[in-house]
Amino acid sequence: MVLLLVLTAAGCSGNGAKSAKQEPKDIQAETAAYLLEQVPEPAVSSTGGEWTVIGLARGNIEVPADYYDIYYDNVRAAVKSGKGVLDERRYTEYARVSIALNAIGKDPTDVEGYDLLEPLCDYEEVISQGINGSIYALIAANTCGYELKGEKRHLKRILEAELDGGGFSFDGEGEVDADVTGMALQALAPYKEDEAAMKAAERSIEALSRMQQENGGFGESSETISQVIRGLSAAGVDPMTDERFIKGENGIVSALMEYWTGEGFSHEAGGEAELLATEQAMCALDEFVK
Amino acid sequence: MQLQSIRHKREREQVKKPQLLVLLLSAALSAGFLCCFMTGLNLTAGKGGLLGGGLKGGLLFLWNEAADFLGNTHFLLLTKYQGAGEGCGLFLLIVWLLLSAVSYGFVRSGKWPFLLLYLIPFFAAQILWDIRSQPWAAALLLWAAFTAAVRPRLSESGGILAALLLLLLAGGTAAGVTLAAAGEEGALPSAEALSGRLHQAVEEARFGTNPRGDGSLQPADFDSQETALEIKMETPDSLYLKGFTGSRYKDGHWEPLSCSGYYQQNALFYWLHREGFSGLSQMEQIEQLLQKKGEHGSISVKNAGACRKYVYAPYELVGKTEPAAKSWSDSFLTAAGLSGAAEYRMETLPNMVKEWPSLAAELFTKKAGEELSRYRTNESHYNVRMYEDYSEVTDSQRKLLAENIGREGNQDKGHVDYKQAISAVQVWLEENFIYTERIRESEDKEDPVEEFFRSKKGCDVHYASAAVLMFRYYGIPARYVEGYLITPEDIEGKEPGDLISIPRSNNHAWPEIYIDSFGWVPLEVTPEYYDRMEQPDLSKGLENQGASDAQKDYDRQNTRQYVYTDPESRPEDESILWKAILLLAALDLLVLALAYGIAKLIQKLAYLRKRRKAFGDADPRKAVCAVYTYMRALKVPFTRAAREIGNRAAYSKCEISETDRSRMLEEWERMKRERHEKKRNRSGVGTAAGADGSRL
Repeated sequence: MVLLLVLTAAGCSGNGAKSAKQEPKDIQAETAAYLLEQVPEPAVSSTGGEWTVIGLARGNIEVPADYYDIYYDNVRAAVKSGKGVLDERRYTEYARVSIALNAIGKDPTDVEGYDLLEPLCDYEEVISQGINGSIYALIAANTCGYELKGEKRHLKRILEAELDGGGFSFDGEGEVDADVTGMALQALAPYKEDEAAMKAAERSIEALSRMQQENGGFGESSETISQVIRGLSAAGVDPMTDERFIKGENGIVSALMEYWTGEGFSHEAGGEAELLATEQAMCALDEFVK
Repeated sequence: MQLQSIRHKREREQVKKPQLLVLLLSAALSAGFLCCFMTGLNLTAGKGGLLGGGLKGGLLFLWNEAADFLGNTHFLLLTKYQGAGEGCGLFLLIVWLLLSAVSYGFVRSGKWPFLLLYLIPFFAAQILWDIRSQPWAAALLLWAAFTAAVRPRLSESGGILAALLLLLLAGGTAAGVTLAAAGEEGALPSAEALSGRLHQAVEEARFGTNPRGDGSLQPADFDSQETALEIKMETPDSLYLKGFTGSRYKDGHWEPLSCSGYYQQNALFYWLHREGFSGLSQMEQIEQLLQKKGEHGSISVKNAGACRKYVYAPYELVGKTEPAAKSWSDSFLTAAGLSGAAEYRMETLPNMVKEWPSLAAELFTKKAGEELSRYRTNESHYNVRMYEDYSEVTDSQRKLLAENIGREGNQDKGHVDYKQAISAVQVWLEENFIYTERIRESEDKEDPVEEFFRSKKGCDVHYASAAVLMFRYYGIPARYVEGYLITPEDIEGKEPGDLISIPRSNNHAWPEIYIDSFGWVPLEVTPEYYDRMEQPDLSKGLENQGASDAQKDYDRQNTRQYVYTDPESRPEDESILWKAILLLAALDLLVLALAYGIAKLIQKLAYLRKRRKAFGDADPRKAVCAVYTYMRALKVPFTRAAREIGNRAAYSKCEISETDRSRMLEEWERMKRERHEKKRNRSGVGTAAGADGSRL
């Protein structure tokens, strides 16, 4: 009998926090706690690095006194020992690190004497990574207020990659990819004076609305939903209230919350909390939890 | 009559049995203690069996063996004597008999506190000083002690069973104390690990700590402005003050050589010092050889907040410190005394390390004269030792270095050229690492140096550690040093004799390398510290040719086999020996008296506690009876009131009230006062007490 009670309690406890209705702010706080526990010292890395720093900083989360300084030390060490080279081929590394440094108030143009945004001025190298390269080059430059060489070329390239009917994909063909479209929206959003950019952004929003599922989501991963939320927010669309993104009783935000495990966010529905999914979700939460 | 004689015979036998047990326990106690002492100090009886060695010869044999053991295990330097026999059987036999006689008195008295005289040294030796007796010896001692302690309380029939149980208890305790339990992964920490942690705690309590952790590579408290050293200098100058010197990098921290390593070198350094050569004051010797005539200046150091274990001395030390410090094969100095070095003085030359390259070049090219030849001969012996002791690079370290800095360079001439090596180390560290004091211990307990190489960030302890390994990789003897800096900023504006307060934030770690023929020099490899101390000009003096010549000298010397005779033992001196014996005997008596006093005190306190409890019993009848019983022991005539209340409580069924108790206690106090006055009157002190008219 006692064993039964214990097992029942254990079975309930995992979903206890999830099933009880939690305010987004509380979820944001708990997500931040998960990130701080999983990432005690953020490194220069696509996981356990910049996205954690960006998520915590933009959410104004209280962190240990030297938390961001330790991350900055790691960036300095990587930049110095690499003689200014973060990665030979993936130039999105420069963009990601620059965005993170900007989020914590550091200058990415002077890290151990190296300008981390300068490599993004090499147009040919940047576009070798595909549309992603151009997207992140623009996001980083606009976030950091940097005058990027080849900025207009990157913008043009993005616009040319738009699919018929709106939206974007990795290779400029086939079906709309919600992830890429969300990122493209973030890149296009600052160009409010550019009519073509604004129209492309509007068409992307419509495309996303069309592809949104009945449960409010976009496919099987939480990372995609997070990316869409960030894109819509950048484009000035409120992901919680915009009618285009409410399907019946389900919206984007409620779809994202389906991945909340009580500790962090999972990659797939019903899964365990994962770091990458939680980092992306944290960045999304920052957009609508004020 | 027959019945009477049988009863008497039985009574005599019953008296004999306890006596036999007392004798047995006395013999076992002393034998166990001696065997623990012998096996713990790794002593043997030598040749000649039970009667071998003679009395004096046996004592000296034992003393010299103990001196070797303590020298090898703790680098405790005791004088060894000539005249030792080939064994110590007879001496041990006599000691055992004497000790058994003393033990007999203790055991027969039945007073267990005396047994602490045996047990306290035993446990202290095991736990505090790593003197591990054999389990069987420990079991014998503990069994004898436990049995002696409970003997007076055992009945005849229960005695054997109790003795067996105690044997088991003793065996278990002996095993636990003398043998290591489960290893690092086990549920129980090993005795060695526990001992290590206890040692560390005792050392921290004795000496305090330094911010850099003295080799632990877990620095903290970087910015503390709390004063570490208060210094007065006759000629204020910036200096590196050496403290902890790490020779081996093992398990993520630096440690000196083993005690046995230092002890084995004792002979070498004895002869070197006799010849006027010292590894701690080579700068002084160089200065004399080069006839620089630098002015000596005195320094007084008061340790206000640094670790007091070390005597912080500069590379320019002249002679010895006052009071004299203990030299660990001329690599570093420690203080004697329970709480370490509080204050000391020394003579020093002006800062020479800032110009060591040019001095070395001058020395290399100086024409040989008698003095220089003598110096070089002595230095060549020292040189061999330095290469043997301070060049170690393990396979895993070599692999790590090869992965990070490539090949170990051209060592055809013994080691990479000094200038090239220093430049390579400094440049590589400066260009590839960032300095930060935000270092946390990694959760997966990664080795600090490996983590430094991987993460490319660290503070001075990491830079220094990496540099030491790199220099050794390049074939140059190197050591890891922690100490304090007297910087140019610290002495700015200071006049001779002014107080210079060196804060704990001046604690620093640096590598030192051995320059052939010249000596140990400190190097700065942490970029953030380049501006804090004057740096030598490496472009002057470290010519290839000079180094090459010195290296050829080293190669020639290295092929010789050096055999060092033990330093002359003290000549046979009977008076010293008997003085030592008398001193030991006096100390023993003092300890015995102290132990007796403590035992009596414990007994008294127990008695008082028992009496207080009895007098305060919740039942007034029991309390009054107890007071009545104690009154009898005072041997002072009872008053009528006391006798009446006491008899009523003891023999009648009348109710005894709290008032009766209070009255009885008053009588008790009065009778105590009377007894006290009686004693005083007998000794002729004070006035005679008046008789109490109410006394019966």
